[in-house]
Amino acid sequence: MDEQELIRRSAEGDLDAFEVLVERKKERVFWIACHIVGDEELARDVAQEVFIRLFRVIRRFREGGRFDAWLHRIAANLSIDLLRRERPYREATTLDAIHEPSAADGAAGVPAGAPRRGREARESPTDEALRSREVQRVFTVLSSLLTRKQRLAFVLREIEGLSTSEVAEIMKTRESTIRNHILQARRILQEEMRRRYPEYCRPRPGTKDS
Amino acid sequence: MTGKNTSQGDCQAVEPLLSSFAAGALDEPAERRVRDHLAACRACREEQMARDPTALFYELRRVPLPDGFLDDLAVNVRRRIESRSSLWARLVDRAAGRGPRRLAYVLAPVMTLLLLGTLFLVRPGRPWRQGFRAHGQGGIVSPYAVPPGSPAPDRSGRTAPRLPAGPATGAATAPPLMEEVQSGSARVYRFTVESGGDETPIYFIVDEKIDI
Repeated sequence: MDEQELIRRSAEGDLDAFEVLVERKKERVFWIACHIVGDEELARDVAQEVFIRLFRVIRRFREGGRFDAWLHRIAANLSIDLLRRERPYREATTLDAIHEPSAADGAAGVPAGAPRRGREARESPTDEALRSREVQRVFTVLSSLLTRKQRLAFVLREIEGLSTSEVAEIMKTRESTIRNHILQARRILQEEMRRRYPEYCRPRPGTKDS
Repeated sequence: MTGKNTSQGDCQAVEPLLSSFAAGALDEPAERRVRDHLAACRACREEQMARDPTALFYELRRVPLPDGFLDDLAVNVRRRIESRSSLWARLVDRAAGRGPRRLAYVLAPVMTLLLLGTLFLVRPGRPWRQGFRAHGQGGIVSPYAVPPGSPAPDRSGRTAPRLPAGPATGAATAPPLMEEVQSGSARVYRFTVESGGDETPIYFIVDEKIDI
């Protein structure tokens, strides 16, 4: 069924159509929330709230508008709201409780911060998932140093792959402001990564030849 | 160099752009193309990390989820919507609009009006607290109200005005009288209060010559 038709029927209260719409959009909404709040369980709760809110306000959506941008704005706002409520806790913990990679981690099979040489050639799906979790953890720790707007702009454009204009529409600001947020975010992240995770900043031997 | 999901041609096309990408010197379409490629191609991403370590985070775009992690999301959403479909919940939702803050904006003036209205209705001295009663049947009556049948007070002359009965005097007490007493230059009024057989005279002297 066409997306506009699903939106129209959802606006009329058709829960079957809305369920289909949720199925189509849930993954992107979940990932936006996850990259902002930094926790998969919380992100799933946020995603549920996003769709409940969406059902409540979907009749306000103007036909011809960018539905995805509208939905992503709801997701970003709810995630930021959650982050704002959790902020005292997060600031107290994430900055201090940075888990530095250790030999014990490597021995236990947990991927440490440093990528291992030649690992990609032998990496199993489990290794890949663990590595992804490690990268997510590094991002969660470092992104707590960004302002909310920098974090949101970075997540939406750099990680989620939205265009600058889409991000500007979601954040209700100019494209130049978005570029500026991302530039500043990248500078902060680069400095902190070089300081805390230098192993991620070295070129890995053999990558050129692969 | 090739990643899992990209071809060698993609890598060769993107490779010359990586330095410019790190310097932020590409236009929007080229920048987006490089970003999408870095998200998909691990080899290029790791090469780019030497220039810009934040390229690591392009990996997050392709993070695999645990099996079935989001399977029940749509069902849970539907269940929660259906559980909130009662009339009261819908009213609250509509009032809340964009969340609890909006609800507060709606409720605050309503509660203020209710509070003020309640205070206005129940404050002491309002006639509707006692109920309206006919004159002479008890209740609260203004001490300046003219009782039915009594002569209208004459403002012009020096006739003795007669004050009406006060509300607290009751049937056992005679109405107080005020009368002008003959005097030379000043005017003297006598105000007599009778209560329980005793008479208490009170005199008011009005003399224009007295300068206080």
